[in-house]
Order: sequence, then structure tokens, then C-alpha cells
Amino acid sequence: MRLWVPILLPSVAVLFASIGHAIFADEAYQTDYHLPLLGLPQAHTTLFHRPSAASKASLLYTLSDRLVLGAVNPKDGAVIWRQQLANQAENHTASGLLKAPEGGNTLISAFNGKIQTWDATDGRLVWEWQSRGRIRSIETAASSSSEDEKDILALSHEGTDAIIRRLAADSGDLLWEHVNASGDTPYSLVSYKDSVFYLSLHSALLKGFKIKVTELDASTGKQIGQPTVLNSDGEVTSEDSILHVGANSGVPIIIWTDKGLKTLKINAIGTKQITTVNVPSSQGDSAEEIVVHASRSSTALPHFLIHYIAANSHWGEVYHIDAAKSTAKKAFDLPLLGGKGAFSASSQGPDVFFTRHTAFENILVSSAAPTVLNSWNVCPKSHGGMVDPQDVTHAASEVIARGGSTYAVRSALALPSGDWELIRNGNLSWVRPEGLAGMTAAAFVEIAKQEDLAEELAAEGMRDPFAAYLHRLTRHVRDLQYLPDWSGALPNRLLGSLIGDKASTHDQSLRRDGFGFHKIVLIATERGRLAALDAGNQGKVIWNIQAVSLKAEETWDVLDIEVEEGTALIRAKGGEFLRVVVNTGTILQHQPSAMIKSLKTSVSLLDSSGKKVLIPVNDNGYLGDLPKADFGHGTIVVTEGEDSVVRGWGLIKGTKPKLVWRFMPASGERVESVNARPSHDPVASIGKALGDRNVLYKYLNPNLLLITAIGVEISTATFYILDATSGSVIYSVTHPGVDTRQPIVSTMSENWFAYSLYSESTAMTQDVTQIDGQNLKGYQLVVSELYESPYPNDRGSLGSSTNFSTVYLTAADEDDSLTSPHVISQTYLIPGPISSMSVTSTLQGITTRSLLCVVPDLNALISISKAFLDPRRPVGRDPSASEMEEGLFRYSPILDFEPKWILSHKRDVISISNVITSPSLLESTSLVFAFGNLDLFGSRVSPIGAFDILGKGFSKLQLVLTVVALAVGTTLVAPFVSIPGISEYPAPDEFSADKLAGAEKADRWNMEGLKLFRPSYTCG
Amino acid sequence: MAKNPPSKPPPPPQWVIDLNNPPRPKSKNTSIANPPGYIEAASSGKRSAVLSKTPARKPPTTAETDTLKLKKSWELAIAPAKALPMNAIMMYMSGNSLQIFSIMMVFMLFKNPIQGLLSTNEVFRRFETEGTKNQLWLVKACYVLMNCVALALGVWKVNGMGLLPTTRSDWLAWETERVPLERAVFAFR
Repeated sequence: MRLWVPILLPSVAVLFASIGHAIFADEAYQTDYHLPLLGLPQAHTTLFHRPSAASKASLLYTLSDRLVLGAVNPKDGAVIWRQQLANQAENHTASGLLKAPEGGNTLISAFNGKIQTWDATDGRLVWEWQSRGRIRSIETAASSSSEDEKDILALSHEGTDAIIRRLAADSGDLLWEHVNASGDTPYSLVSYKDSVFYLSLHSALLKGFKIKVTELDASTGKQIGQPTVLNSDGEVTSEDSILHVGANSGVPIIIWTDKGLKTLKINAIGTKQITTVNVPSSQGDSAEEIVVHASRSSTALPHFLIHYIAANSHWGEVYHIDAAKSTAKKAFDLPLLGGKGAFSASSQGPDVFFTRHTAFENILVSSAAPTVLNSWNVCPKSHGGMVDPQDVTHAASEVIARGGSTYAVRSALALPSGDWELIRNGNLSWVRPEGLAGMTAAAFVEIAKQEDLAEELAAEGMRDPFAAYLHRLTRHVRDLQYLPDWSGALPNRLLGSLIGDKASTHDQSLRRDGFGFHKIVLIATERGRLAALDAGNQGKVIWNIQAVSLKAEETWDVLDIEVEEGTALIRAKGGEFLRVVVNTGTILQHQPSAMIKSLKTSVSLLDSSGKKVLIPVNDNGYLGDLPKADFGHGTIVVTEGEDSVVRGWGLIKGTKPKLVWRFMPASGERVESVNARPSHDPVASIGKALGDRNVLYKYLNPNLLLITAIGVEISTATFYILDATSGSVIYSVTHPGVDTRQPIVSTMSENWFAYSLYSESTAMTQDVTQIDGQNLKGYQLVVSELYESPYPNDRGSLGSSTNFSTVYLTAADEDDSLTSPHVISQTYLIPGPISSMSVTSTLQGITTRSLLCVVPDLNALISISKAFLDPRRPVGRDPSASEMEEGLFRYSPILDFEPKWILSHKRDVISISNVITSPSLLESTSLVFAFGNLDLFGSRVSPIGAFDILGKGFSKLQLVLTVVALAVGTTLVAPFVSIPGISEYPAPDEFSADKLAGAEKADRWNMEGLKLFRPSYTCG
Repeated sequence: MAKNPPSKPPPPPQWVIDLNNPPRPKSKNTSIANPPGYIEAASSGKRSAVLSKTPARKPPTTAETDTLKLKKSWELAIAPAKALPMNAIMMYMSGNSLQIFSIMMVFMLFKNPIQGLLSTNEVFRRFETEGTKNQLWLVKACYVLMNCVALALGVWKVNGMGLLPTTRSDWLAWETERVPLERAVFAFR
């Protein structure tokens, strides 16, 4: 195989004009898969809503914990549109607000100080408005100008002032603003008829807060009368004490409770009258949490439901508000049921319905009477073999009365697992694995072999012939059980392969395929979940488990997933590790994080006897005590400490590792990232065959380190190439004028490294700026290749020696310049930032590698072939013939991201931060999986075209038909071309074979090369 | 040059008979005058008469046949060289790319000289007599040399096509990566 490398590569490059194609049109949506996630839906921002007044069907809208506003089709669970409210979803603390005015075409969202309105049908931004302070509450009020549009009332907290503004529905123009400088904590806004109530929390003298209600004129913003102060200081200790505020149910009410959840106070806003309700304790269970559910519609009856949640049960009470007397009265109870359930309120016209969701059933009741209208037995189904029923965290539902007593109910249930599922009249419609958002680590895992034929054969070889024969016989008899299935599927398979209908032959089972496309992707999320996706089957979730239980606000920092045969070892921060069976998700072993807080992780390495040894690594970059093992000669462990120092530790016999070297970047800089070559990084050819068939030898060292150091104050970025065993800096380059807030990413493979940054100048040795006479300012992609020597056919100072050591230098290479590689770099200007970079990996490394870059501006993953990035592209001149033969073409400083490079084609892949690759069994193809804070995306990439597999355009049917047609044609035409009588004539001796041969030989010397044109035989 | 005819010739095919017995010329139509300058009938009769009149040739002496044979064998020995310029031009025209046509031509270029070399003795056996034996080795050497020249042309062509492993990149596959004596384990991330 190696022999063909120099020949294969250029010819393949020439043969496949598709070199730049990331994916073909007929492969899109077939080979790639994408889970467009939203994040966990939040209870108060998940709702069914009609996108416009004219539309009949409603959509499911949610604003998730990751601040993604999305519309989901309730029929199939497909995302219709998504919008990220915050770019850096990582550093948000506040949750967003969402309002969907009834009958309007828009949704209104608010996050921090920004109010945005979105077209509910297609998710386009209508307008946005930025306030100086945080938006505390948004409310809608009937617009004076248009019937169906509603103006927006916003309460923002700016300094000590609370400012209430009214913004025009269609343009976001400010209509009026009211500044309340009372110094109270602003809490909420309630719009009711022609007034706006501003609710604030006024600190009481001793403790607690009094709720202050200020009434404003909705059309002018003028204050009406004096504020009403409610005596709530006995109960309200924080904002959390207020359970519900709203005019949703026709009458504006506020409900609060005390800290111990003993009493509820209900007040119709605008009055001073407070209804006190004692929290019931049902069957000895005391409520731990109280939630109020009321219909969103302002035209619905003023009924609401109080939902009491106890440790292991829940119940509810329905209240009716007497609008005339402004008092609330309990109408009926909803009995206690075990487990944690969820209620949801919905309305149709004036009727209000409450739907109760438990693990086993859905119960629909009307708000008017306690009779159960309908109930369905359900069992929320989940992936991953979690057959046991789950609690429901919260729900949103839509009830449609179909005349008489038939009702259609569909509910979107959020489960503790993070799954979000829709149940329609008790039947499961779809499940969205929203719990997978926030992935921290992922790894490709081979599917464990089910039957090992090789093992069976080996067993036969070990036995005596008779026993081996019996063994084989029993094996074959056992294999017979698959025959009916196999023969049953055969016609379909044949037909499918002929017609090219691959969909019918899609392999659903978890078995390795011949091309190595069928692999499992293990992913770990920050919420402690572990899931397995089937990469060969559209990323279907195979299992999804809660691997570790975490407290609220705690995240699971998985550092690394190590794959062994059939199992995977997940290493998390603090020395925690977890071993799971890949196929089923069964946890075999779990060691919680160690008592020693400073322990960061542990690395496994093989000692000289081939046994795996774990070496503890601390947070500060120091190694813990070594286990007793012989590590052999020259093993260095490289750690990155939190103090921005990279250390190399020598493992010498004994328990204490020895610090061999330390790397500190230049002053003012800190280590941003450390990269090594990928673990699977085969090198097919140790040199690069040039156009004139000379060889430029690559500098290949598996112990290379690429350290990115950035100086925030001095605006520099420096890239160091280190030899990890000796710690010596082999090469370094500094870029001045770097915007360190922009992403700076780097990657390394084989004998080259690449990085991307935003810079105002270039630091390269080959000064490209002179060529164009202008400065390279913008996002840059720099690619550098390392060679043994600048001269062809020179293998550097080590010559033909078969091994090398960078620690024990021989006398010949004492001179440092001899051992350092020759570096060729080239800078390209790219249109946007790259937030993550990685390299494709193929089985033998023959295929030219491709750089996989995440482009956040495009929400895309692109694949740039290394051929485009070759630093040896001729600068300022056309390539010579030999350079052209090598595949080099003229350098141009601007590298546009061509649309055909985009691996994610039409898909909108957002919040991707990591890309992992894995080789398939086909040399041409590498598996790709991208994950991050939100989405996950998987695909296959063939950097220089799929040269070892037939494409989808290849029609077997056409081939077979052509052969058949030719055969038929030949048989039919044969009688016409045969001349009668010619075969009967006996061959005369003069024309016998040897006679002719003699004549031919005699002729040849004169007629050399023109034999074909010889006019006739010469006859003797 | 041809081999001795077989003892009993088979009946020749019809067309040979037809060729040897042309159709009888049509009876002269006296009404049409011969074209000017054409002398009829008498000349052919005269010519055959002249031919038949020439005396029977004396059988050549052994020395004469030997000289003749040697001359013929020299001609044969030089023959490969005669084809060289044409071959060279063809090779030059076919270019250095690897295509089915040029590959076939190069194959022929090698096949013929090698076949010629292998059958050197056979080729000259017909000219081998007692008298020519001593001089024939020079002819054979010349023949071998000429074939070698033709072979050299083939080698030149193959080299031009880049099929000869003469450069460093051809042996690159047998060169292996250097093995590092130390190993580094990376414990970051």
C-alpha cells in the first residue's frame, strides 16, 4: 500500500474534480444527521399558541434554559424556527421572559435589557429595543392604532429607578415612559383594561416587603391616585414568596405565600382586600412547593388552580374569583395522587380546562365543576430502556372541545430526564431529547462484536479433528436460524441494490457494517447524563441515562472518554470515573470524585510489561504519587497547570515523579491551549514527493506539542512548537496586534499545524503584505508545515538513523540549528472567525487531510481540504510545470469559504464548540461528530472524494441492462454478418499458420511498426 | 528469403487462379482506333520473344552465393537500426503520459528487440555455410548491437515516462519513520 502512495495521491487528486466538495446533493440528509435542540423548556415560557390570528393550528413555543426561543410543530416535533437570545449562552444567569399576545402575529421576548419581537410564523426579528437596565417584566396592552396588535409595556430596573415604558407594537417606538424613583424594588407589571399596575416591593421597617401597587393610565403613563400598599411584610421575604401575578384570568390577581408555605394570600390588584387561605395538608403530606396555574387568555373565566407539591404526592385546589366582590373562593379539590405530577391550564373561549399529568394518566377537568371530563392512561415513554414511569416536571397543554363531551388534548410534558414529549389523547406523538443539550465530551466507539467468528475458528483449530468437526457442524446448525430472515430479506436487498433504493435496506440493528460507518457516539452532558447515538442510523439515541446525580447548579466536567473493547471509561474532574457498557449503557463501575479536592484527573499509560497504570494528576499540574511500576526508559508526562505553566514529568523508578522541564510563556502572556497530535494520526508517507520526483522529508515527531499563548494586554498571540520529551522549543511565532477577545484556535496533525486568529498584521516570515501592498487585517488562518530540511532528498542531520532521541543528543547534532525543522508557513485571510478546528482522520492516513472548522457566523461546519491550504503554493507567480504536477496552484491571500465546503449544508448548526473525528474502514472517508452547548451534528467526510466506494449515481440496473442489451443485440445481429460459404472453404497449406508466421517474420524487419497497415499477404 | 516450398502444393484458392488467368482480352474491335503512341500486339509478342531468346543463366558458384548470403545477412543485421528513427519519432510523438496507446507502443518497443535477441542464431541460420561461418559472427554481433540500441530507445522512453525508479521518491515507500526513544503522555484537557 505504501508503495503506491506517491503515485496514488496526485492521480487521485486529478481524477476527482470533486476535491472541494464536502457533500453531494444526493447524500445530504442521508449520511448526515443533526439534532436541533432547544434546551430544557421552562415552565412559564412553554405554551401552545396560534402563530397568527388567521392560522387554525397552533404551534408549540418555548424559551429554554439555554435562552433559545423556538417554535416546534406539535405534530412531529420538528423545529420550525429557533433564535438564540444570548450569544454566549454560557454566562447567563437570568432567565428570559416570553409573552405571546393572543391573536397577535408576534412573540415578545426579553432577556437582560433587550426586548425583541419575533414573527411567530417564521421567527424573523421584527424589532428590538435595548434598555439600560435589566427588564423585569413585560406586559401587553391593547394598541390604539391597530386591532390585533398589542403594544408592549416594559418594566426595567435602571440604577435605583424603575422605568415603565410603552413601546409601539409595530415599530418598537417609545410612546411614553414613567419613571418611578421611589427606590422600591420593581417586581412586575399587570395590564388590566385601561390601566397598568406597577407592582414593587417596598422594604418594611423591620423585615419583609410590602407589596406596593401603583396604577398608571395605560394611554398616557400618568399615575392615577396614590399607590396601594398591601400588608404583606409578614409573609413576603423575597421575590420567591410571590407565586402568581397576572390579569390572565380576567381579573388581575396577586398571590403570595409565607416562607413556611402555611398560608396563601390572594389579592385582586387595585383593591386592598386580601383573601387568606390556609395551605391544606392532605393526608399528612405537607406542601413543599406551590404553583399557580391560570389560563393565559384574558377572555376566559377568572378561575385558577393552586397546585401543591409534596415530597411524594401532589394535589390541587381550584378557585373562582368573584369579579364583583374581588374575592377568591375555593370551588373544589383535585384529590391527592402519588408521585409528582404536573397541571396545565388551557382555555377555549370562556371555558378553562385543567389537565393533570401523572406518570400513568392524563386527567382533564373543567374549571367549573369537579367532574372528570376525560382521562387517558399513559406511560411517558423514554429512550434508553427507562421503562419505569417518570414524574412530569411541567406541562403545557391545549384542549379542543369537539362538541358534546369529546375533547382532544395534547400536552407537551417536560420530564426530569430532559426529554420533552408530546402526548395526544394519551398517545405518545414524539419525544425530543432536550436533555442532551450542553455536551461536554464525546467519543466514537466501535460497536462491540456480537459473534466473533475468528474466536470460533480458533477454538476449532485447537481441538482434535472430530471434535472440531462437531463444533463446526453445531455452529452451522446454529447459523441456520438466521436463514429464514436472511432469505426473506434477500429479494428486497437485491431489488434495493439494483434500483438504488437504499432506504429500504437501512440497517436498524446494532451491528458493525462493512464500511465501518456504523459506530456509536458516546456523549456526556454537563447535567450528568450519558447517551449513546447510532452514527450509522441518523444519530438515533440508543440509550440515555442519568450517569451521575448532581445537585442543582452543579455541572459534570467530563475530561475524557477512553474507549476499550465493549466498554468506555469516562473520566471526570476530581478523579471521578465511570465505566459503562457501550451497547446497553449499563454502569459497571463508578468511582465518585476523590476526597482530595486538588485531584484533577488521572492518565492511563502502559508500563514496560504492558499493564495499564493510572497516574494521578493534580489541578496545579503536579503529579500525585506513582504506583509501583516499571515505566521503562524515558517516559514523560506532560501536564498543564492552572498557573499557566506546562510541565514535563519524568517517570523514574520510585514513587516521586521528577520535574524534567517547565514551559512558561513570555512575560505578559498566558497559556491559552495546549495541543498534541491526535492519538490516531497515521502517516502514510514520511516525505512529500515533489513534482520533479525528489522528496521533501517531513519532520515527524509524535511527541510534538503546540502551545498557544496569548498576551491580553500586549495584544499578542504566540504559538510554540515544543518537543515534549526534552521541553525544547523547536519553533515559535508571535503575532502582534491580535484581538484576544476573538476566538484563537489551533490544531496539529502529521507534520503541520494550523491556527486562526484576528490580527491587524502578519508575522510570517514570507512577507505576503509586500505582494499586495496592503496589510492583512482581519481573520487569518495560518498553516505551517514542518520539514526535516529545506533541501529535497535531505533527511536532516540524523540521516538514515532509524531512531532518535531529543534528550540524549549525539555529538553530531549538538548544534541546535541542525535538529530544528524547516518551517514553511502561509497566511490566508478568511471571511469570519473560526471557533473550533480539528482534522479528519482516516485509517491509514493516505487521504489528504481536511481541516474541519466551525464557523459561528454561518452556523456551519466546513471542511477545507489541505490542498487549498498548502503553504508551498507559489506566491506572486504562476506555478511551474512540476509544481502543477504536485497539485500546487497560485497563492491568493483571500480564502473564501466556498458554499460547497459546508458540511452541514442547509442545516443551521448552532452553538457547536467541538468536533471529533474517527476513521471508517474506507480509506477515503472519515466520520465526523460535532457537539457543543446545544446542537449535535454528525456526518461523513471524504476530503478527496469517495474514491473507494461506488457513488449513489452508479446505477447497477443500468449496468445489468446494458450487458443484457448487448448480449441480445449480438445474438440477433450475428446471422446478418456471417458470410455464407466462407467457413466451408478448407484452409490451403500455403496459408497455414506457420507459413504465415514465416512470411510475417520476413516482413517484419522492413515493416516494423506499420504491421497494422500491411496491405495484403505476399503469396509464395 | 522464403522457406523452401512444401513438397506437394495444395490447390490454390479460386482468386489465385483467377489472378493467374486473367480474362481473355476482348476480340479487337477494329472500328476503334488505338490511341496515339500505342503499338499493338506485335510488341508483346516481340518482348516474349526477346525474353525467351536470352540464354539460360549460369548457376552461381559457391563463393558467389556466400558473398550474396553475407550481403543479405548484413542487410538483416542492420534492419533493426533502420527502424530506429521511425520508432524514435513515434515515441517522441506519443508523449510521456501513461495511456493505453503509449503503453502498448512501449511494450512493442521492448518485445521486438528482445525477441530478436533471443532468436539471433535462428535468423542467421539460413546464411550459415562453411564459407560464411567465420564472417558471420561479426554480423551477429552487429545484429545484437542494433537490437540493444533499439532496447536503449525503449529504456529512454520508459525513463521519460517516469517509470524507472531512479529518483528518491521511488524508494520513499521503503523508508520508515524514525522511532523516538522517549515517549510523552499528554495529561491535559
